[in-house]
Amino acid sequence: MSRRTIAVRKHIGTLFLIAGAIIFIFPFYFMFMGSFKSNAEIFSMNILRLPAAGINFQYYAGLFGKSGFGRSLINSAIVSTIYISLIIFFSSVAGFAFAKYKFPGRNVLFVAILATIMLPPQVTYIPLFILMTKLKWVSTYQALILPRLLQGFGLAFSTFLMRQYMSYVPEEILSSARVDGCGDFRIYLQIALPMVKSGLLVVGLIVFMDIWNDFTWPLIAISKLDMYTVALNISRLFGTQREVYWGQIMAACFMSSLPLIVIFLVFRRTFISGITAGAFK
Amino acid sequence: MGRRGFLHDVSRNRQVYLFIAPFFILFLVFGLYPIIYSFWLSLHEWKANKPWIPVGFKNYATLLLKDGVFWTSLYNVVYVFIVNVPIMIFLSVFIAVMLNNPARRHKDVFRIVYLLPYVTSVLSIAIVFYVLFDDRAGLVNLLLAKFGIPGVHWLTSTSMSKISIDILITWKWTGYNMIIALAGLQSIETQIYDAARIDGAGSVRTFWQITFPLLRPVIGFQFIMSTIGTFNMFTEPYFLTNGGPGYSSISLVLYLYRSAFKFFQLGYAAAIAFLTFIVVLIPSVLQVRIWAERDRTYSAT
Repeated sequence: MSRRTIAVRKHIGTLFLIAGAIIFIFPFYFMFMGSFKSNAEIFSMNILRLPAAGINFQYYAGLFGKSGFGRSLINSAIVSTIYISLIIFFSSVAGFAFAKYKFPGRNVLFVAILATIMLPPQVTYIPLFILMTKLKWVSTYQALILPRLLQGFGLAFSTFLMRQYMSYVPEEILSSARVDGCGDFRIYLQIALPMVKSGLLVVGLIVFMDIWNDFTWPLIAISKLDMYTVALNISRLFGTQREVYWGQIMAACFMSSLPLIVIFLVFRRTFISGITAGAFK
Repeated sequence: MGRRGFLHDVSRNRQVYLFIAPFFILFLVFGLYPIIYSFWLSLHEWKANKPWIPVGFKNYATLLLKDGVFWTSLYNVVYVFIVNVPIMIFLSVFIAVMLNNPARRHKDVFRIVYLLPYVTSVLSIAIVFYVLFDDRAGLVNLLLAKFGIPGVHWLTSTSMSKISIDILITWKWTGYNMIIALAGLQSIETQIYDAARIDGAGSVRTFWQITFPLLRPVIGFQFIMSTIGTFNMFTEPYFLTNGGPGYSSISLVLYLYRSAFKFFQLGYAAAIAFLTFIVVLIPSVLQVRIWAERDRTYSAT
């Protein structure tokens, strides 16, 4: 292979990667610009032209005005915060137990937890809905949080990750604490937990993405408008206002994507290590 | 270890069992109980405000023997899977190989940009694609018209609706799969490549004889996760096509959702859920076995 063909091939590769990058970024650009545009501008060829009305936040103002979007943002934030806190606590304490103690049934119980990751959530939707109705939990935060701990990247996957991080905590430190008469829970809380901060961050990020973007379970569990999450609110806008204010729908989509994009950009390395952790050791 | 030794070990570890208890308690209430309940429901019929009537396996028989929509939704899911998964995995490995080239610059920028779709919610993106793929005035058809190509009915024809869902899924998940493939590539020792180069192997041969075999476990993981993802898909058809036109893009979970929460055939929908469960069981068991295997080697070290 001559030096020239190598150079040509490298440039073709670069062009391919750039084309891919444009395809992956374009919908975000479209969403953001669309949030300032009229319907006629959104449905047109002039995608590169700036919005006729300028950067005018009228659609954002409209969202927060009457459509209950602000309320849904608060709901999503509350649900995400409680959900992440519960997952972080339960998964780190269980991960600690699995990584640092030998007890009867340890391996079987751990594989049992792994197996539940693969459980398709739709098998439980109908009975859970009936259960929520019986408990009078429909349209409550606990309905969005508690059953959801078992779905998606929930407690099972987090426990799997946390056990890996906990296994890196040096044995000597733990045993010397034990000699000093430290109880198991205090060892976990005061010694092990501060040493796995990066693991907690990984779990928090992955789980936040999962709960913030969730749509199917809230669609089933929530019926009252003032309990809507962001995803449900967008879905309602899409269903009822379609053909009316596309700009407003684009604004809602952008607003709901923004927290995740910002967090992803800030913690990109941690995020990527979290994604690959499930595939390998 | 005798019986007494075992019980002694258990009681000595009381505190540790308390540490792992939350998962199992939650699983009993929100996992195991609903699954068993779901199976019970699937053997019953429900009419508004009347008690549940046991009907045996009638729901299953109807689904498998008489219900064309069930088979259509299974066909659709398999179709989306067959078109999407090979292309997506090939693309992700291809891009990963390019990014793994030591001479490549701005790797981090590409990695981040390619991963953006994974971070964004399916629903926001599905809505954007809905606009872009509009028959009359969507950007895609307008661009095609510019080149004299007649507009494609992306979302409103039975032949294209599944393809549009494939495009959305490929767009959303290629970056994720690429990151997984890239991590796999980075775990391959560079000496192997040096040796291949000294032996005069070209890049295509190097790929098929070295990279691909070493990447097999990673591709296996991608394949299993994509299988499960596709069979569980709901949000994509819900927003993009609402399962239409006709039933041309309805998925198993969308059909389940409609049967349960639009038509309130709860027993029937539970039967759909159980059949879907059985279909996804095979790849799931495979992946759990791989994890458990790796776990054994992990525990041994």
